[in-house]
Amino acid sequence: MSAGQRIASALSRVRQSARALRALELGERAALVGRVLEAWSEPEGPWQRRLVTEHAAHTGFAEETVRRGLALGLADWKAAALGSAVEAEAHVLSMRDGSRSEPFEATSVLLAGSIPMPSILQLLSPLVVGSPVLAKAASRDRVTPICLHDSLRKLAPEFAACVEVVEPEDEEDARAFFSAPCVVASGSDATIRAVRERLRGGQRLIAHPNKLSIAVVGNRGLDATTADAVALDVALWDQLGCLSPIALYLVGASEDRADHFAGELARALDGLELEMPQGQLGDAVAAELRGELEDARVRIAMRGRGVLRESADPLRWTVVREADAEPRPAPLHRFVRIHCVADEASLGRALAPLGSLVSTVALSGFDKAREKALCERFAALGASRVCRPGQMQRPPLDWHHDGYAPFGSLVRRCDLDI
Amino acid sequence: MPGVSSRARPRADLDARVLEWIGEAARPESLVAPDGWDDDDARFEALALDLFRYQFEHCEPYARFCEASGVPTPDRIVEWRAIPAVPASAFKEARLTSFPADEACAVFRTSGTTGQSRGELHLDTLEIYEASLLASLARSFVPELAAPEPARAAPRLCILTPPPSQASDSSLSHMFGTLAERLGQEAAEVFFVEQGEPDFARFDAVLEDAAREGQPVALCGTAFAFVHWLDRRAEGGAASFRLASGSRLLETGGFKGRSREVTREELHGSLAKATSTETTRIVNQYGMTELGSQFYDSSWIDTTGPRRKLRPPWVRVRIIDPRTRRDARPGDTGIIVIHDLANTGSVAALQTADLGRAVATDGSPWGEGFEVLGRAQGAEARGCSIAADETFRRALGRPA
Repeated sequence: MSAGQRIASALSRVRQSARALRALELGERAALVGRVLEAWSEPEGPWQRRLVTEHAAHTGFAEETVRRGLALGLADWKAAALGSAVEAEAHVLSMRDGSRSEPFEATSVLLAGSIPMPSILQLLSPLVVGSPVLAKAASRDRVTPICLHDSLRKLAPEFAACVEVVEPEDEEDARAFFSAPCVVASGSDATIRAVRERLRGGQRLIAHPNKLSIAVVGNRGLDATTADAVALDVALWDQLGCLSPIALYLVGASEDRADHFAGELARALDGLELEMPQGQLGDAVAAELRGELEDARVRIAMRGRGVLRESADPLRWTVVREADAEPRPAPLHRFVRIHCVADEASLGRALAPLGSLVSTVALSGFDKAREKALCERFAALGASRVCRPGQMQRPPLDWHHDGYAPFGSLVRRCDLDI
Repeated sequence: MPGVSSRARPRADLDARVLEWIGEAARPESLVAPDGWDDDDARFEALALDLFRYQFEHCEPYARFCEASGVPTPDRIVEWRAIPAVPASAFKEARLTSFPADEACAVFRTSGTTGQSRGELHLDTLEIYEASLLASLARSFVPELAAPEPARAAPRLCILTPPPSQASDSSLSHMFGTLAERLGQEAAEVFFVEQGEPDFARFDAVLEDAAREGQPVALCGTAFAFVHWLDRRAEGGAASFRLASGSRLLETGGFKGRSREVTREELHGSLAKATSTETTRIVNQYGMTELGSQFYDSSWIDTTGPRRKLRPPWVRVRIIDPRTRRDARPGDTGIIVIHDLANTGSVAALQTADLGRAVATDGSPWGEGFEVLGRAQGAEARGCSIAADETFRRALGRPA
C-alpha cells in the first residue's frame, strides 16, 4: 500500500467509525470525553505522570516544568466543566425545530508546537460533537497524541477507533490528509496559508496561527503578588506558548516604581528557576538570547535609562525594563520586557504594531471602570481572552481559542426555513 | 599590574603602531608568503590593552557600557579576551568615537529603511581604514596590489555597487572605490550601479569585451546584486562568459530582509558556471560597517585547505559560547566576537549578531580561520508563540 493510500485508508477507517460515534447522544459523548479528562486532570494520575516523563525527554523541557504546566493547565478540565461548556452551546449543537446541526464526517487536525494542552483539546473536541479525528502530531511533540490515544483505549474504548494519528510523508499523503471536510490547523502564518490553499470551498478550516500574549498592570498591581503571578506565566513552558507573556505594559507607573517591579519580577523568576528550571537551550537560541541581552545592556547604558536584571547562571531568565514602549523581538525562554506607558491611550499606541497577533492579556491593578474599558480595547484588538496574572497558561475548557466557539465551530448548521 | 599601562597612550602613538603593523603585513614578501602574516600574540595583546584604555577614557558611551558589564575601570582588564565587546547595535545607540565630534572626516552607515535607526562608524582619519582594507585585499583577492606596477598587473574591476560619489556613507562603496583608485581605474568605468539601479547591460557588455580580448576581470558586488544578475541572465537564456584566466569574483553580504535567498554554495556554483571560472576563484568577504577590517575566504590563496575566513594579524576573532561568553570549544558553534585594532577611533571590541565556528586546518601555513554560519536568530524548537516567527519580526519592521 503506498503512503498516500495509507492516509486515505486511515481517513476511511475513521469515517466508518463515525457511525458508532453518532449512535451516541451528545450528552453520552460528552460524558465519555469527560471521563478521559477527569483521568488527565489528576497530577498524580498515570496519564500526567507518563506524559511528564515522555514529554520532557522528547522536547527538552525540564520535567518539573512539564509537571507544573500540566497540573495547572489540566486542573479545571474536568467532566463537569465539559458538561457546562457543551450545555452553553447546546442551542448550536443539538437538533431543534428550525435548524439542524451535523458533525463533519471527519476532522483532520494538524497539531503544532509542544504545549500539550492545545493538542489534547483539539483531539478531543471533535469527538464530543461526533466527528472522528485524523491527526498529525507536531514535529516538536509526537508524544502527546500517542499518550492521549492510549488513554482513549483504556478509558473510552468506544472512541479509540475514532482517532488515528498519522504521519503524511509526501504530496499524496498531504492531499489525503487535507481532504477531510473539516480541518483544524495550528502553526505559523506560512503553514496556515499553505493549508488554506489546499482546501476547496466547501471545507471548513479552523485556523490557529501562532500568537503572543502580554500583561498589562496598573499602579494598584505593582506588588510582589502580581510579580509572582506574572513570573509564573513567563516561566511556564519556558515562555514558548502563545499564551506566554512576552512583555508587560505598566500603565501610569513612574520609572522608579517600574524598576522596583522589575526587581520583584526578577526575584520571582529566580525563585521559579530553582523550582522548575529552564529547559535545554540550543546554540542558536542561546545566541539570540545573548544578543538581545547585550543589546539591552548597551541600550540602557547609553541612554542612562532602564534596568536590566539577569540570572546569575547565564541566560536562565532576563528582565529588561525598557526606557520606551517600542516593541522589540522576543527571544522567549524567560526573557521578558517591561514597558512604561503613561495612560490607556499610550498603551493603545504601543500595542498597535502587535495588532491581531495578541492572544491573551493578563490584566491587573485597575479600578473596575478602567478595567472594563481596557477589556473592550483588548477585545477590539483581537485578543481572545483577558485574565488575571498567573492564569494565562490555564484557559478554561470553553475558551474561545482565536475567537472560535469551542464546539459550535466544529459542526455544520443547516437552517430549516420551511 | 601586567599588561596595562597606567596612562592611556596618546592616540597618535596608537595609530602609528597599528599603521606600522599593517605596513609590515602589506610588504610584498609578507603578502605572498603563506606564513607571511604570522601572529604576534604579545604585540597584539599590548596594543589591544593600550587601545582599550584609550577608548575607555575617551569614548564615554563605551565606558558606560564597560561599567554596565562589570568593568568600572580599565585596570581590571589584563588580557585582551576580557575587553568588553559592544554589540553591533551599540553603533545605533550612540556615537562611539574616541575623538571630538567635529573632527570626523567620514561617516559610514549600516543599511536600513527610512525611519529605522542605522549604525554609524565615525572616522577622523581614513589612513588606517584604507591601509587595512588594501592589505587584506592584497593578501586574499588582488595580489597584484603588491606588484611593482599594480595598475598594469591588476585585472579590470567590474563592481556591482554604487560608486562612493553616490553612496558616501557606504563602507563597501568606499572600499571598492579605494581599490579602484589604487589600481588607477576610473570610477565611471568600474562601477555599474547608477542612482541605485544596476546597469546589467553595460556590465555584460564589458564582460563580453574582456572575455574576447583575454583580459582578466575582477567582479565585485553584493551577493544580492549577483543573484539579480544571474536571474536576469537565466531569464534571457544567456550563455556563460568565458572569462580569461586570472579572473575572479568577490561577493559579500547576505539576504536579510530580501525576498529571495540562496545558499553560498548555490551562489558560487551559479557564478562559476556563468563566468566559466573555478569556485576557488570566488571569494566571499565578511565585513561590517562597524569594523575597520574585513575577512576574506582563503580559497584564492589556499586552494587545498578548507575554505575559511582569514584574518589579518591586527585582528583577533573569538567564537564564544553564548551562555558563558567564554571561548567555545574548537569546532563548536558560537557568537563571533571581533577585536579589531584598526578601529582606533571607535571601539575595537565588537560582538556580532552572527554565529560562527572555528575551522581546523591541520596547521596550514596560511593560518587558521573561521566560518560564518548566519544570523543568531534562534529557530524556536518548541513553542507555538509567534514571537520567534517571521511575521512578528515583520510587524516590528525587522528583517525576517
